[in-house]
Amino acid sequence: MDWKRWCIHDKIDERVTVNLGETLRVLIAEWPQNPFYNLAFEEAFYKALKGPVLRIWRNDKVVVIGRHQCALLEVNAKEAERLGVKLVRRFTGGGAVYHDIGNVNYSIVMPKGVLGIKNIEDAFKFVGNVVIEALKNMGINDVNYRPLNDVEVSGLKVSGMAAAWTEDKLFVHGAILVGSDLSILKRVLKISKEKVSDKKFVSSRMRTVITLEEALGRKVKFDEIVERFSETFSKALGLRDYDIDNNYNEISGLANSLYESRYSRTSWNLKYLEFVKESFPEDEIKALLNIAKP
Amino acid sequence: MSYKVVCGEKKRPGGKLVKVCLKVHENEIQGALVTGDFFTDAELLDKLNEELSRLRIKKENAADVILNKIKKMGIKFIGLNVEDLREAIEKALY
Repeated sequence: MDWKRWCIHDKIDERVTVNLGETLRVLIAEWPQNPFYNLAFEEAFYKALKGPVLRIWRNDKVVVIGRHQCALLEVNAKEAERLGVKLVRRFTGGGAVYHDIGNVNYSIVMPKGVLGIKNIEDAFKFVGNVVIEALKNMGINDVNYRPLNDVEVSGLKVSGMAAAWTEDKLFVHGAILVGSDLSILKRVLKISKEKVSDKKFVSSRMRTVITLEEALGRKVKFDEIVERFSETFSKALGLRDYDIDNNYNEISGLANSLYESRYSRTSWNLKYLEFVKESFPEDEIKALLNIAKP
Repeated sequence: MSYKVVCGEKKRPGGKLVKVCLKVHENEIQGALVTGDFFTDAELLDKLNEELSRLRIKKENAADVILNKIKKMGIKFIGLNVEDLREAIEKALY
């Protein structure tokens, strides 16, 4: 039993004992050219596994909106269509983000109770601190967790997180701006004045985000992110090491089913459209319908 | 189209953004929709929006009726409170 890692959250009324195993399983499972499948796989990953398992993956040129958002209120559809940017809804709350190949996503599913993490606020804080540690290991010092779900470098957002939970597990995923094209991000997202009201202003021009490459002044490869995040997550969970595992057969069936029934359909991606569409120009609706399907 | 859609939004510092859209015809609300970047139980929010889509109430009662529905359904939002919702509704209407 020595090799087992046991995590005990000890409380009089609640004692959670979870066998985490010895190493962190890390899945590199990605379909950057099909963001609809990437998001279907993401929900299947959360539903099929108990964890802890880390997934690291990328999308290319897509706006991913939060579960409770209305696409028409969040996305400049005509500009997105012109730039070849797609649109997909994820299954977690939070805000719209732009993913290109210079953005890396991390997702962790774990049993509720691990390290005393019992709710969503705890989970955001835990993962936020792991991201901070990973970035510090890469050479960035001025990095902070900003509740509820952001990580900032020098006061500018570098990573945002979202989450889901059930009775027995927690799931947090986030996007980290590594070398994304921020000029496209600004063009395809509708940024409300309310949204930036508590963000930082730089040189009279509103600036809210920064990439790792800008912060470090050098190029950052995908492999470096995989290595740093895998080792930092495994250490934070008290595990000895991590194993890159590209066998995800137990997830694929559910992912395929979710892709067909939900993520490849405008009924999911453009939910709420009917309510507001009369107030928007026809060409904008048409563009939205084009970008919200494979 | 006998109504127009108006939307209001609110984000307090450190909180999440809520957007409330209302279908308004003269002094009557003919439907409402709550969206945003907050976190909540998705099934309950779907149920709320389904009920709100059939809303027929006077403009001046909009905030109270919507907030009462949320309270009755036991919906908990992470990142926003009921006063944020009230402000978003009022910004949409006035």
